[in-house]
Amino acid sequence: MPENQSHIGVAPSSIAARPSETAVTSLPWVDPSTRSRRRANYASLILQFALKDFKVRYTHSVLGYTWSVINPVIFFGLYYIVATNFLKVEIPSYPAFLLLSVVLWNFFFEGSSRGVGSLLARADVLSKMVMPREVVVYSALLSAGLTFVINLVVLMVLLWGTGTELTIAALWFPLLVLDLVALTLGISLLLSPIYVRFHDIGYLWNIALQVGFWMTPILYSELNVPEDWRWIVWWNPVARILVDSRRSLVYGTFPGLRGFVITTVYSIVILIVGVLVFKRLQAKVADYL
Amino acid sequence: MASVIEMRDVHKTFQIPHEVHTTLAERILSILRPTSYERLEALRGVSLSIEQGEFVGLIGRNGSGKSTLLKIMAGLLVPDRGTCRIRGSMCELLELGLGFNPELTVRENVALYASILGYPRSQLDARIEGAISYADLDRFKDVKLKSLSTGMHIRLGFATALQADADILLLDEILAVGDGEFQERCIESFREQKRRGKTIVLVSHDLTHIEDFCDRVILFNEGEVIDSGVPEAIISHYRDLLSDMRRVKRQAG
Repeated sequence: MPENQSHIGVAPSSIAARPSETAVTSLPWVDPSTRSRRRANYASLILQFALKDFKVRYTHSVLGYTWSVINPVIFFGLYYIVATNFLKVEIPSYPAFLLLSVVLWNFFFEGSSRGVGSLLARADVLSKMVMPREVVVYSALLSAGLTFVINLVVLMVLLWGTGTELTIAALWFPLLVLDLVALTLGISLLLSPIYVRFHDIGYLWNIALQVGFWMTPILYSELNVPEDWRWIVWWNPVARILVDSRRSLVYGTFPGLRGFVITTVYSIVILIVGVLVFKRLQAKVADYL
Repeated sequence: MASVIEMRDVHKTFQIPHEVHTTLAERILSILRPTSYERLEALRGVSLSIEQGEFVGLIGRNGSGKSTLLKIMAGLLVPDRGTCRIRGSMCELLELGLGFNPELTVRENVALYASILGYPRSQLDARIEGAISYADLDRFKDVKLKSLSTGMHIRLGFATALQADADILLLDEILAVGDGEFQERCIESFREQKRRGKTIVLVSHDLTHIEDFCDRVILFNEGEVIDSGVPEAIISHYRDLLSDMRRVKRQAG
């Protein structure tokens, strides 16, 4: 018998143990329950799934990748017309304010809806092939991230065009984006395995996003929200990230350390909960795919 | 010889909802009454052991638990009870063209599959090319997968799986789709795998192939192993079982 062996049993209630790490040449006893016994090429898998998803999405369209720019730009234009002409919103540097908010919200929207649906969307592969299942969640997020990066370029052009000057405070922005990524990933990891079992999660999350769009200061400023209602803004992690991003990028002021720490802790806690729930539920996922 | 797959007392039960609500009205009405589930015992205490270098065929009627067993071996499903020990690297081919995206090219699809199978990085490109040429699809390398025929899909899947060079191959009904020439190719590769000490577990309804190429056959019925041994004996047992069933059915009808 080869070295590096471990006998892993599966008790009725618990799925025990991780696979033993072994050299490729040896023949290890491996965990049949949870993980890939093959060392799937993790990074390349995430990248390939994301790039291919991105590519497939835009085949059969004349404008192709341009759609990932056209879409937010059209909504930006629409919101701009409605907000400035109909609702008479008066916010300084409103175009930059609005586009930044739309781009960030778009990433959260796309990332979380793709992320939450990712396990089910890849049911064909996941129910037939052994691979680390979290890969599809990461790649859904990465795919939304590609759109986000393209949109950021458009945003930068707009900032430059409107003469918005970046200050040192802009250095906060990448950190806030990281918070948003952690938050989106946490929600995706938390809800995607539950969605496989209960499709209601999909409907609920859709509604949550609709409600979120209006309850988050995207079109309006947090200052438009009456004092009595402002707790809604501060309890909403996406709103916190949006408000601070606008301060750092559009208005060139430091967002404030305390608020940033709270936002970060908030996002990381959601991410940790997501990881734990995903770890617990992922082994059973194939039963319902 | 050492056993590479060892299962002890494996149980697996699925819960299948009795009704599927397709319309909104049904969905709303169904809130009022609890959904009832059918317990489907796919495997009821299966124990078996497969030696290194063996070519084992799993036979049995539809729904007898063969595919569930294969999925547990692969690590896709977790048994409710019991243990499954696997020694060695494994490659499963449970459905033709699986994971293959019709909108991507042949090469892109193989590359994706290769990442799942964990081809060694140093040989990645060589093996991808190897798989494509083994499947005789060199000319179609940059063609979208959807323009290929079903037979070509399975050929590509099989070729890609072979390139993973795993110690154990799990195959579910892959011979059923290919044409005669492909089946011969498959069988030739099976022989080659066997020479190299690889283990193959094959689920098939094609009893001729099972008889010709398996060292040992395991017969399943209603989630249990009911017989195991040399192909001729087990296949005739299976035929008896089938004709018994037909007789029972006729008498009942």
